[in-house]
Amino acid sequence: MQWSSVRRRRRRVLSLAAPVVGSLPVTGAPVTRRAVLAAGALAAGLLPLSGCTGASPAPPGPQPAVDPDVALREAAVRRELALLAAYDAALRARPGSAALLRALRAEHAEHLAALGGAPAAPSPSVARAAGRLSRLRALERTAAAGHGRDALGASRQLASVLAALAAAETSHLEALA
Amino acid sequence: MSETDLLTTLVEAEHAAIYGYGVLGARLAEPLRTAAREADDAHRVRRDQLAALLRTRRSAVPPTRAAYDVAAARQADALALAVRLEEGMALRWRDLVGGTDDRALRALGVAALTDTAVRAARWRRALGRRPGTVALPGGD
Repeated sequence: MQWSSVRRRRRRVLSLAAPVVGSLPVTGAPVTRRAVLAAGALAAGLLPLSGCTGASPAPPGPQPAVDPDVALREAAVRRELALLAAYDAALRARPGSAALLRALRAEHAEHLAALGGAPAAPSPSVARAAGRLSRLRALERTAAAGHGRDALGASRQLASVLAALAAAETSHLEALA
Repeated sequence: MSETDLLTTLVEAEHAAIYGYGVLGARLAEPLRTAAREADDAHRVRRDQLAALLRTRRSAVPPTRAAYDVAAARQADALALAVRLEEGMALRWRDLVGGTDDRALRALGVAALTDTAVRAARWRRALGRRPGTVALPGGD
């Protein structure tokens, strides 16, 4: 089972991080949470390469249930794209802070990957990003709140990722202070 | 893992974190020592919250152990231990979020995971790492 593999891999990390609690035996190939989630994104048709290839009309009968993760994941992707654009604008406006801004931007790029990647068309609001640090902090705060709220109603797998993203965005606030 | 198992594991880890902060705080100079005391207090609050949740489920609250295998000879060791303790807690809080459909437990998990990520970043910065954050607190 994929999820138990994820857990086993994390226990290996944990045995280094917290010697106070016994480690579990490690077996099987490493499977990261990210890989599992990216596979889920593919299945949900979020990645551009999935395209629209089905030509046949939907057969009559019960409608398939709408996966609530699809909308939650897209909302999280939009938040990360807005942050990436804001960091790009800040990098242009504040070359003296480039090392810090690049490091934090890279974490948002990881967030986007953890969500399964960007959709083909960027959202139009992305282009209007400003480069002020106060704007970055406001966006980080808003993103943390959105990720944290959406973690409550998502699938377990997506909730775990959104929780990590909420925690990371909040930790960025002090790094930007 | 059942919710009760997740909560029990978290209480055990909070016991260890509280013990660890007691050890490492003595190796820190101010203002880091005060920061360690505040972190210790925060972990006690979380441990008590978790213990109360277990009691409402009529489940046993695991006791703290007499000692844990932690050591810190110098300030850098103490800071590194603080980072490890927070990272260990982050893993378990994230396990809770991903292991329950209970919105209140998930909200607790998100809040506590956020607190551990913020503290871990502070300790990493105290070790000279900038910005000291990680992309995915609680592991990738």
